Amino acid sequence: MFRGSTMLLCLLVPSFLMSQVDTILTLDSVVITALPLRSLDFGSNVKVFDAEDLRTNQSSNVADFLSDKNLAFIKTYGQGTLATSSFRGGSAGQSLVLWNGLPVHSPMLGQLDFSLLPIGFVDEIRVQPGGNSSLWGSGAVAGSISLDNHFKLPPSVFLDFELGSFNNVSQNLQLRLGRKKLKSATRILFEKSRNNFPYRPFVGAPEIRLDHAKILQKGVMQSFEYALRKNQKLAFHFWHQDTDREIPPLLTQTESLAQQQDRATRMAFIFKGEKSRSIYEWKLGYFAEHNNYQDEKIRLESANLFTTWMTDFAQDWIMKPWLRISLGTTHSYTGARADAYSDRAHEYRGAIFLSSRVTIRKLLLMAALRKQWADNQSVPLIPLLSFQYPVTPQFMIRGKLSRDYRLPTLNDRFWIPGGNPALKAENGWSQEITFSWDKSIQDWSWSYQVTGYNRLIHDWIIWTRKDGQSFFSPENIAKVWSRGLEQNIKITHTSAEGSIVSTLQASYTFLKSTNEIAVTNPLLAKGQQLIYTPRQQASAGFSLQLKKMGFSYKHFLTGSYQGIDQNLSRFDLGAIELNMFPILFRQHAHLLLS
Amino acid sequence: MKTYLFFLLFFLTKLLFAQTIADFEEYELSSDTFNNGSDGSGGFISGNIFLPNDYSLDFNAWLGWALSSKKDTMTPGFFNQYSCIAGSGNDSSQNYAVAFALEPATLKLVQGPKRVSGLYICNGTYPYLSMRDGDSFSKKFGGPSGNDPDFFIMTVKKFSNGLLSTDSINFYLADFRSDNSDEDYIISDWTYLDLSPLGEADSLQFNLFSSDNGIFGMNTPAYFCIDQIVTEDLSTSLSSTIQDQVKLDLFPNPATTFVQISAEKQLNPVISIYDQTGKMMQTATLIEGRYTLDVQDYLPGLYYVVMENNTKYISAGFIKQ
Repeated sequence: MFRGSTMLLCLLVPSFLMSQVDTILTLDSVVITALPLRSLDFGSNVKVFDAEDLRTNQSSNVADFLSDKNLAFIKTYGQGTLATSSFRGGSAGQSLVLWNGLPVHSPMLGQLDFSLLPIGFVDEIRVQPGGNSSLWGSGAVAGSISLDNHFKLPPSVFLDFELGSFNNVSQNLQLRLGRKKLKSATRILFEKSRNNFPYRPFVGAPEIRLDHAKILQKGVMQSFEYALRKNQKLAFHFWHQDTDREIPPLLTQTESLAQQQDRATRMAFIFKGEKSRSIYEWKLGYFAEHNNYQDEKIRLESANLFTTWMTDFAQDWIMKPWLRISLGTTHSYTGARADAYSDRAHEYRGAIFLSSRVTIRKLLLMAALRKQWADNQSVPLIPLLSFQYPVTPQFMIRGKLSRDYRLPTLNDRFWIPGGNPALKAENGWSQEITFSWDKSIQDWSWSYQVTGYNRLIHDWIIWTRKDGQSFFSPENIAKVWSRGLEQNIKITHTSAEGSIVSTLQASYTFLKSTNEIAVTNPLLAKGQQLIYTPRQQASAGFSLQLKKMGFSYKHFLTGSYQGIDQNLSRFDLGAIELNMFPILFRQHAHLLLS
Repeated sequence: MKTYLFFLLFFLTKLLFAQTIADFEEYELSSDTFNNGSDGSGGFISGNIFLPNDYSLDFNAWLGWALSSKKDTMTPGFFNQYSCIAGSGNDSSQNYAVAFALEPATLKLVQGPKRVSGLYICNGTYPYLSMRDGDSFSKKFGGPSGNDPDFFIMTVKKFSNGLLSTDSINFYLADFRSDNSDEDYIISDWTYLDLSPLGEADSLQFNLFSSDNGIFGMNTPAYFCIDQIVTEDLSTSLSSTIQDQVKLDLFPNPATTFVQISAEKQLNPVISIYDQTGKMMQTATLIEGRYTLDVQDYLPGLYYVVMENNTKYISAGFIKQ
């Protein structure tokens, strides 16, 4: 597959473009003081990618980006089709996605199609692995992804024009205006692809082309920020996106006529203030999504829509130099319609949460507690304890103990046939510990992190068919035990004059996520690895960054795993990327072969 | 004299081994429609057979048997689940029965044990097109290469005195196991299946198996169609009529401890209760059109209440939880 793009960046405020290498940042207590306490998950290995990281990455959407960074296992039917994430052996619904601090997943499905999240509409991605339900609520069981928009970049015009194989055309325009009280950011996206790549359905088979896989995506995002006072800001974000997709045939199909339209409108209003000893943030969100699936061949037409209103308030107080406390509350109301619901479904969710951070010399401790209400569903108290301790300037230990939960989705509760209003929340405990080591000697720097984790989730929801029943219905029948090891090593050499940066990076994850209660339909044996959950994943890459040119090669390896019908063999993927930075304006040129 | 003896023997033979054909034509289905039991009738009676239906009013879902006059042989998928690939009943008749056999489908013989001589069988349009072309859940038979040894088989066993027979009759609704791909086939016409070797039975049980399976069980759509079921009977006078004006009401349903059975009009005050295998659980007599059936000792499952006299039957099903 070939993909090439040109990015043109005209800065109204000159600044020098630094060489761009994907960065893994370690949050430290100096940098984070302005962030709300609940964004400071220092018990796990948080990864933050800023706007420059995102722009220089060739991924067009968040699904590709997470795959490229080997941060999560992305389950997808192929380019442009549904892509969901799995962190540490969790289900798609056990990954929480926040947009500017508000949960943005579909309340009907409990998950989000990551292929519909354009990278160009995000200024920062923060990936928090592990449980964070105490801080962020339902769904933050296996991992959380924050997609944030901010106004840190100077006034500028940014154009990304991309041409690729299979009639792929992508245009992304960003216009940033304002430097003082009022700032504006406008983003426009247009992307289309015929997506008719050739493939072989099995070894030795003649090559065929994927058919009926066109995608057309149009989107606009408008953001404003207004500084009311020196320490008070109002921000408003409006995001509308239309996606029309042909659904290509699966390997079991000879043809497909199915297509899907997704219409999403999202708005977030954020009021943020800082005082000498406190910060506060109030958010109001409105999300409306309409999804229409048609399959003319089987005479299926299914329409779903939901609207969610959400408000969230949190205030942090710095009580003492060593003590910080945060108190907050969040409430949401969702109304949803689906052809498979007997009536309009409603759901109210509310929660209060309290957290505190204590500094004892070099040791940082954090404790949090959340109480959630959701219609008549029972959710236990959700606590979290985490710590961070730098043993030496180079060697750090982090750890976290948390209880986490995921509330049933609207489809779990109201779908006909099968919906079960009596479902309980999935819940359980998780523990993790990370050792990290960083060292620099002259032109060389090394970093190594290893994380071990353990998680046991009770009342795991599975759609099952009971004897004498012709349909599946969700039940809290499973218990899933996930444990694993994640390792990451990075070695960088910077030439004396800084003109050449060489980086070698490798990661390896081992994951055992097993079903602990035998289930008959679907057939899951006790001790069996969950489906679509590879035990092993690895990646290795080398990059060379010159003044005006960059080259990188990455190789990804995914171990075998079980699908619904059969075992899927291990596969590997290689990608070569060439970047050029001509002097005229600030152009980037990319060439990607994968 | 010889001619007289011949006609006497012929008459006696007809009397002793009279055949009754259940063809469902007594049901007044409109053309190209179906009856999936949404009226709560609990099943369908034709000739000497009763085809149980389990319909969930809460979820509008059914299991067991439906009656159909659907003619669609072109539309793939679940929404065409009631059609037969032959486009009609056997011999171009209008009505036929469709089984949704996620679990074994049962054909119950009414008025005591009987021998089923045979029946006509055919694939539904949904499984036929699924096996021919593949779909979102099921593979194309033969696989991409055409060489996968796929099969879709129905086994028929009998229940007699509450015991399931070990003998069975197998029928391949599709068979791609031959080394010669020219011999691969998917049944698309009504085909007669001789069931007489099974002998006398209380009920027959139909099981479907496929080579295409996953963790959710069989991927091939679990449907088949039958028509013109021939039973052998001593009596020549049997015929079945559904009495629209007679209706059995069962409450509560599903039930845990008791079921209140009521009928405004009666064919006969005596009712019989059968389990899914056709085994009679008990008989009871309606008093002033009512009877309270104690089901505390019944195992969880589907049961049928049947009211009958010599020529007419009415039934309703209930679930013991």
